[in-house]
Amino acid sequence: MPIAGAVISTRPEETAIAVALLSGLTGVEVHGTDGRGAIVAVLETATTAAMEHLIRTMSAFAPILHVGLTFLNAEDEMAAQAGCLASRPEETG
Amino acid sequence: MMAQTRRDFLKTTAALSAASYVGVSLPLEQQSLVQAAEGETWHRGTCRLCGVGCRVELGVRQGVPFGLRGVAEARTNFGYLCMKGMHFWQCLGHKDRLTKPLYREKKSDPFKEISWDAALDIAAAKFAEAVKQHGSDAVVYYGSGQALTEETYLFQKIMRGGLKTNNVEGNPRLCMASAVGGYLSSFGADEPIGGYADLEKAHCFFIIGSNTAEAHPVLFRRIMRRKLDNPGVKVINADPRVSQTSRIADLHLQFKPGTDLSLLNAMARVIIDEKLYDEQFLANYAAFKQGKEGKDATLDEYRQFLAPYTPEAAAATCGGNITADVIRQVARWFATSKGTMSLWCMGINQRKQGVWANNLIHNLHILTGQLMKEGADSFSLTGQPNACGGVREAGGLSHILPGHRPVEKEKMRNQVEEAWGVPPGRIPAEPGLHTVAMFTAINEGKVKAAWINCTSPAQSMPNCDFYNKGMAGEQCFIVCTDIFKTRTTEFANLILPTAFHFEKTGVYGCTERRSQLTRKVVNAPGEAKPEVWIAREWAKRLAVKLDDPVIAQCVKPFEGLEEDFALPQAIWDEYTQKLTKNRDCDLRGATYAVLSRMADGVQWPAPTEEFALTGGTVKKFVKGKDPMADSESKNDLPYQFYGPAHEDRKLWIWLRPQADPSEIPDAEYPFYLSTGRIIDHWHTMSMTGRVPELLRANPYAYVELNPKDAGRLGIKPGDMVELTSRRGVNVLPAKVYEGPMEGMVFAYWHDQEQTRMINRVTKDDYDPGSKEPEFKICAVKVKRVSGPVPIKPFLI
Repeated sequence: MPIAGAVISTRPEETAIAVALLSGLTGVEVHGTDGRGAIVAVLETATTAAMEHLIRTMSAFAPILHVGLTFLNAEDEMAAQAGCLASRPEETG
Repeated sequence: MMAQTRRDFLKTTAALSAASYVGVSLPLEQQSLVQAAEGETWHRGTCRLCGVGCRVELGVRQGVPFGLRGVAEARTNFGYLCMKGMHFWQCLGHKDRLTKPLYREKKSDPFKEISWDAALDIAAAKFAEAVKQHGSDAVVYYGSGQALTEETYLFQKIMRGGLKTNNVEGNPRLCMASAVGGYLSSFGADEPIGGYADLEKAHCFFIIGSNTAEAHPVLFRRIMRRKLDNPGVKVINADPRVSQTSRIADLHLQFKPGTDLSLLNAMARVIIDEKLYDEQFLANYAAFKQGKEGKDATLDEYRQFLAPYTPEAAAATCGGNITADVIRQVARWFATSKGTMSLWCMGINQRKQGVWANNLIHNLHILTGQLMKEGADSFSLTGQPNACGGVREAGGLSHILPGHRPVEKEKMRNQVEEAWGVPPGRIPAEPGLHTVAMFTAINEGKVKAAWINCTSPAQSMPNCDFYNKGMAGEQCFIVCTDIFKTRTTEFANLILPTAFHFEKTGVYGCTERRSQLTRKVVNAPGEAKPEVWIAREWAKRLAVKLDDPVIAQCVKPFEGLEEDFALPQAIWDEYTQKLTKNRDCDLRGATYAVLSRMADGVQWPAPTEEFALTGGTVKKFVKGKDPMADSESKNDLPYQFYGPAHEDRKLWIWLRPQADPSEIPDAEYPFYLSTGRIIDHWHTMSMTGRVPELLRANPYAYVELNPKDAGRLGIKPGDMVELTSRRGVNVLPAKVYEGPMEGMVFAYWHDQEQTRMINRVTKDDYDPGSKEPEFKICAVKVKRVSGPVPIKPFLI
């Protein structure tokens, strides 16, 4: 399950509209904005291909200028591809 | 105690990374809705930063830029941008922009604002005086792989055809000259055969001497996607340092810096021993060469030459985690995949043996036939956005004229002179000063006037303190054209403010031979002007002061043209229609009209507009794909290597031995120092340091130490560490992590602050062929100075 941190750029006066659009998407958690047009969000999808599709969908929204990832964890998918890991139990710490 | 699942931990980390990037704390307040603005337009251009050539659109409202987005249809980036590319537009309206010409007679005087007329008169007078009193070689132009092609072309025309000197250089000498030397000596022609389209077809990536993830992030994203979609694709990363790129590698090869020539020869040895070479390809297309003179050799001689490079011997030489089995595995993957792409950058180029290292990578591709087909290429990654287009192709190095013409060939000089309408013999027969020689000549007082355009050698030269002495001296009058003050403008007599990207029109040519147009969209601040106007007006005054009508002839075709579009277009037309005609970099089809219609641009050769509109040549030398392979065909073979440097039209496999770097660790200086880039910053940070998001991500340089070395030296994360070489000292905070191998430290070179400017420590020895310095390897000693101290970012 890839998880990504994203900075989503919008026109400052359209940030609220963009937030509303993003909030309706599965896999997108909006954590807030910086008041200058940037939206902080977490993306979570089943596969990295699905994440790419999600990013393309978001990018197509008119108020959104760019979606940039600041963090991406895809260890589970890469490990599964390497045949080392079928599923991982929840770890606590 | 709060329990947190792994998933929760990752999501929190993801949110915090994004929040810290924009500088906010969590939780955040949401903003209220406002109305959307009217009168908004979007304008296509190319990213101002690295050599990938991402296509972007600048959003403008009422003459003011407000944002940037990627162009989805562009074949360079498919709409993706990295964080630097996303934010560079903030330089357009920045409060620190230079807006007026500044002059001081002595370098100890304060600057005063003067008019453009006065500034251009002074520049012309000083250069004329230097030429009259000391000869044409007392003046130099030092340009940049970030200048537009039109700018580089016009400046070098004025210097060569006007002032009769080949002292035309550019900062790509510091980054790409070895790649140029490698391509010319291995393939007979500069620049890659393939392009980015091969990334999505490759089955094996051999990434050596490149931290692609941070230096070319958008291309890295394509590599990563290819791997994730196709688990069978192999990624091999060869780098003494574990970098972000290493994290997707199936095999990371970590070796002592400078021993990679042994590694590459050992791979060739395996390929020969296990008969993994392509006999038919070799028979049809290859020749073997050895020695300084390029004496012919045979496959048997090559086999004998490789005899000492057994995988076992190479593993012993390389150290690190290299074993004989790993070398064999890598060689087999390389040779047997359906398409292997090698990608490299400064780790290979910025070396005393940079050309040889390039040759050895090309050798592997020629041996195995991993060329010409989809997904296979020997692909040098270019650092700067226009090192290829402006400097390598348009005559921006002291030994190369426009259109890939060597200065030393009289026929080539005559062709250029005729195109320019200047008398034969006007261009000197000898190459001018290469970069290190140029700044050495400034030190020695032999250069009396220097024009430095769009670059900061005071920070980017290796062993920079040594060369800064000369630049600081009153014996050399220095003109700097730039957008912000830098370490180099501190040594200027005259600073001329220039227009920035999207404030002027011109072409960039990126890594994959693709030329792309950016048009002026907004006005430059204050009195800043485009360089093409500055150069033209300067040349007109030079002609008067030197009473030389030939100088005026150099800019006569551009007289009276408006500077925003007509002037650069006329320069581009002269360069492409006259100087690239029938050359391997033929760009006659890539007119401004064609380039304006493209989502991206045109890959040369593109001799006609019709062909250019398809996008140009995706693969050079292939009949049916490259129009010159058809027009230059000499036989029925499908590949025609018509490159100008090899008369035999063959690809050359070079017998190159292992040779040590210029300076390796010893008892007194026991560590290797390597330098490089990080994702958040560009070059000397004069641009990216002024973008709050990027500065916040990485406010100052640090030194990376391996945990074992740190433990031995008593250094903890954040401690202040002194790095000392035979040339200078830096004091940097320590970052302790499993990046560099034991016995090695790494620092990035972007920081302008004197105690953190790593080029005060690096060595300026250079490749004898390419003249490119060995930034990547020198010897240092490392000492803990103190615990953590408060550090502030610094900008001139």
